[in-house]
Amino acid sequence: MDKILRVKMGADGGPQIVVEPLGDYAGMGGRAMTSAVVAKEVPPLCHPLGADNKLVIAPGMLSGSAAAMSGRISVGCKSPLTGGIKEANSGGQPSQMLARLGCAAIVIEGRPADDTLYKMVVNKDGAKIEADNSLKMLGNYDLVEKMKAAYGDKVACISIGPAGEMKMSAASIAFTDMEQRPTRHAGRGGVGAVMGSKGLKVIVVDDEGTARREPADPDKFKAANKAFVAGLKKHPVTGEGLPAYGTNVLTNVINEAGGYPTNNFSTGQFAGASKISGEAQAELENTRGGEGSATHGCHRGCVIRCSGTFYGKNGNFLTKQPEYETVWAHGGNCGIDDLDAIAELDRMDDDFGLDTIEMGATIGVAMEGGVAKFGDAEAAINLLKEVGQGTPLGRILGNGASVTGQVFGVERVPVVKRQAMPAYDPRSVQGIGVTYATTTMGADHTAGYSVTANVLGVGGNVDGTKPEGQVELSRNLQIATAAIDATGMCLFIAFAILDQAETFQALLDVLSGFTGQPCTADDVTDLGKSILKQEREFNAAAGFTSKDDRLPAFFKTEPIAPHDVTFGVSDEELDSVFNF
Amino acid sequence: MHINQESATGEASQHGLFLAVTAADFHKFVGLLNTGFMLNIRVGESVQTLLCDRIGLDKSYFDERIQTLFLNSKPVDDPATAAVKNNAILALSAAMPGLVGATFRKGGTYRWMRGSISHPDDSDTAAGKVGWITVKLFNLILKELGPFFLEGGIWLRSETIQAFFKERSGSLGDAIQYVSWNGGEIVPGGILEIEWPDEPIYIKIIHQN
Ligand code: SF4
Repeated sequence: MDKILRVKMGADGGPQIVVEPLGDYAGMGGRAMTSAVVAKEVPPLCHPLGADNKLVIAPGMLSGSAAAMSGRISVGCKSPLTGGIKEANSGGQPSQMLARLGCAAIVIEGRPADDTLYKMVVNKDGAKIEADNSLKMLGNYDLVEKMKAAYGDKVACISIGPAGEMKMSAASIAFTDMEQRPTRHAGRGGVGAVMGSKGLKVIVVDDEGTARREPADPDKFKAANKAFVAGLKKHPVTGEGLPAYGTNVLTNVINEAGGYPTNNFSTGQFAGASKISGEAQAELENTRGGEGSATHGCHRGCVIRCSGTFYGKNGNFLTKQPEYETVWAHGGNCGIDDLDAIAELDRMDDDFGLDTIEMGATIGVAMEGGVAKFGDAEAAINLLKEVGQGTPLGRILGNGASVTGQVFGVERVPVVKRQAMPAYDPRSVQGIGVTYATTTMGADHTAGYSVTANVLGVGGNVDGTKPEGQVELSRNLQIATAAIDATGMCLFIAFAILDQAETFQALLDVLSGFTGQPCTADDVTDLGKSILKQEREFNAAAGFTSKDDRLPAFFKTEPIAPHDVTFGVSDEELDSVFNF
Repeated sequence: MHINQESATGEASQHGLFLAVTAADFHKFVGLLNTGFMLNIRVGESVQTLLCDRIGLDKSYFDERIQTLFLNSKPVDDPATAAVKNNAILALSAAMPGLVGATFRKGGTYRWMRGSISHPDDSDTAAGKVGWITVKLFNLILKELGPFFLEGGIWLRSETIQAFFKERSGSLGDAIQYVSWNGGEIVPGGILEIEWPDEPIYIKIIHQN
């Protein structure tokens, strides 16, 4: 990857694309690239939807190579939802394809002179951008069909739906999957609204005529990749649990633990959990679509394959297998125990271009505010339709849980830095609360997802029995996660490298074999730390203080059943997370 | 394999359903266990004693495969000391993904992150009496141990059995070869006609070629 495509939307005479060498950004990928560009080039106090914000789309460092699991892509900007720096991560085909085209990042900047809508095409001959107002307010599915008709059935699309065009803070950016469906999303933080503010509807990526990126040390890379894949396959989570049930395997377990936020975080167990569990979902998918329907990858090169295909009652494709967080957000969090209704909501989110977590949390808050009743699936579907249509109520909901809570006078609004909290109650699992509170991203379960301190050797062995142990764990997890997000690897590799030292070593060897440079655990740690530091500095300059690193007050005052616990980590402890 | 279920309790159901089903379709009946089933216990015995010594689970399977256990919704770190009480709920799962999944693993590195809800090591004062436990099996454990428990014999709430056969009568086809209800043979379709008593039913399902 040797170039950056800079798309100047506000250029005189209409948008222009400039091809630039990597310069200071050489060697970076994924979140390292997006956060570096945003930190260096975006004024922290700019309006997220204004001309000064930039949208950065960057394949991971290993994307486009033969490294397994390396097809994740990062999207960065100043978030219209949180007001801070944002990295949203997605699967799909575009990461591998952009990397093979030599493109380390697409940086979209400025703002067009009027409300003309543009489409951009990137292929081996270069990149071009042109106006196409016929695409206005198309859903992602119809849009992709149109692009297929125009550019063939091998291209990939990066696009926004109506929510992005309406600049809603819950708007996502869609990435097409192996079947050319817009099912993979950089969901969090309203990145779709920033793309909408730039007037860019779709980027069509065509990698025909390109070759796989080759490693610097082919023998080392090949052997390490083989060992890495073997490690993923032999681990019970990455080799069996995730392929069989997907991430929704968590529903029964988190619910049993009393950590499953139900009816807008009012209790920790949902009576209908087993009906929407991963076990029930896999059985339904395999029954309707044939054995194997519950096991599928979100991009080529994934060997875990935690996704699947959801067929409707009529046997036709409806959506990809909804993930745990989606099933929770639209399911238990709204008191809904109907998998078909949840899948319908997931399909609508993908089509309108919306973050499923934000929308489920928002509908939960709206239900608490009396807009609909908990458990009413039809009402939830109708509310989401309003968002797609952009009615006044829809525009409120499309701007997320925080705005909706304010509008309807709801006190229990589960957000940090205005971003909705995902599917784990921080009162039952206090450690995740530390991450929710302190991550640069707003409440985000993936921010502290990965690898143990003891494997990475960050800060020695953690003693979790001491209060500071939770803080130290969260800190180390956030560092490791930031580093993995830079590689383009899927975070789900964490389970195998957590438990199997040889699989972690294989990952380091894959990196080293690819770059031709030595790679140690310390290097990975340093990378993670430098990303987080940059993000923290951006947020501080944007006006964030330690007061923003807090959970909403109700988590400290309302005990949650069945354990009757409140969040007990002190503010002083939270403030020590970033002492490195 | 036979689960050693003592009938020393007068509360035990006198109602029993016995099914012989085709080997190829046996897995379809595992869904009966989706919301949990009941077993007799000796109050105060440890989770490990119950599952390995009395029920007969292989110790290495227990140690390696069952990575996540909950007793009354509290994650268990040491199954050898966690004592089961009358009417307890025990849930068994394989290792789970995600940071939060990892926190629930028995004795795992991240267990401190959910310290405030962990199951305390304890013993029970009513030790030795016969009682009941509800067992829930999740994910791979349901798939792998479900058949074992169905063959060994377990108790289910009558509504669970009724709902299962009502919902799935179409998909079970000719899977059921033989049925006996309270000791007397009935035709497979007769299951839908049973007047279910409002108490736990002892159910055992074997497969044959
Ligand atoms: S494990 Fe799941 S999320 Fe990760 S790359 Fe594979 S299909 Fe995508």
